[in-house]
Amino acid sequence: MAGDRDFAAFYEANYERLVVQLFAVTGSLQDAQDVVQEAFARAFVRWQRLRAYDLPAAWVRRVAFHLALQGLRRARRTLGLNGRPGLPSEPPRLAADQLELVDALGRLPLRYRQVLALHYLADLPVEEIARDLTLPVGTIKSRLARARQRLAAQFADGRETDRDQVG
Amino acid sequence: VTRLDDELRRRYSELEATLLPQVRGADLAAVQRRGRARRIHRALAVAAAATLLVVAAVVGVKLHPFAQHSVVGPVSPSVPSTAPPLPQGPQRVVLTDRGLAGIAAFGDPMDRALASLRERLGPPDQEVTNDNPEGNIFGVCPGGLNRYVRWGRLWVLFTTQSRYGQGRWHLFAYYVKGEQVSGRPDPATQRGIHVGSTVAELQAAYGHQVQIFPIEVPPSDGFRIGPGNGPAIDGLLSSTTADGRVTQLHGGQGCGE
Repeated sequence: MAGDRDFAAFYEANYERLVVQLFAVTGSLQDAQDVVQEAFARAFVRWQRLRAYDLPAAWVRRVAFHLALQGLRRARRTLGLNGRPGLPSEPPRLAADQLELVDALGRLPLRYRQVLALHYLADLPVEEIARDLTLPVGTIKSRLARARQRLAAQFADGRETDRDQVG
Repeated sequence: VTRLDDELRRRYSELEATLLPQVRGADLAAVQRRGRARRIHRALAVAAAATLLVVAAVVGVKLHPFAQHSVVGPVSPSVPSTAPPLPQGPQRVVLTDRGLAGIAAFGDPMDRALASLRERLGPPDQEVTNDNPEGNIFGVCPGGLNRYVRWGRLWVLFTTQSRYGQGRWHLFAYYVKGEQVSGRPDPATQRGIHVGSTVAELQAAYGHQVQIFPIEVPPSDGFRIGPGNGPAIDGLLSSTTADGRVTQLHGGQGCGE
């Protein structure tokens, strides 16, 4: 069927990038793949309607982020975690610089990780993130600013520690 | 700030380049199977819910006077209200299943509703005219052309075509969402439920009159104060657990996707 072919092409074109965006929120490749696949499964059910949208990928991204945040919050409530993603079952192979970023992201609140991923990985402007999350533009700007500040502080701490260790 | 922005852009970009080849090949067939199973599951759930609603409606009419009456009674200025006296204070806004108590009812002409709101709340913070049939921040609303007017976190929505009227501008919905703005009203239901109330407070206030349910599609879970198919106040929740919070309140005809 044409609809199925459309969906297959849509899936192939968007799946991997979405997984990376979700990884930046969950910190686990396995979890990211799981929520993205679930979001695509939901899109498949509604594909006849979604295919008429200008940006069906935006719908899938919203669902995937929602599932990821819901899952992480539930885990935090049930397990008493502090919101940091746990160690993934199969950690991806990353350079030291990238591990530092992932570790720093893991220390941020979920709402900060989310806006950072949408801004730097999904390449969304602030106005579009605000529309996506149904939040005022000012809220998104302030979340981005605070998230950047906290990341900068963590990177600086990391360099400080490195210097101490070398010295 | 720019240097940090550039650094983050670079780091995210490198992370993406490293991760993309490591993402496991997409198993499309499994996703489609999962989707089909979900469709069957949903159809069964809808059938079960419909059966339950019919049973509840039949039993509810006998057991609960609520099933025969609105949550707070009619509130159109032109219709005598059975609701308790309004809270005092010029900035108080009480949400009902028929409109904004003592201010405007769904179906009221736009000019009259806006005059009443301006008199009570002063000039609005934002006025938007939308003619995008693909939707807007509320989704796709009834009628081809909508006008949205905002006071703080309270939005009132007008159209020329809804279940409340045809051919003339009239109030068809309100939404309460977003952050509380200082000096602006924090609209609440007659029993004090507002954006930020907990699920526990919602249940304490409305008991069996409120239905709380998960919503499969984002942004969140939901609730309805009122009968399944009559006038009601709807809302969204951050979660269905007792500490979940009301994130949005809505009355009138809804805007879809």
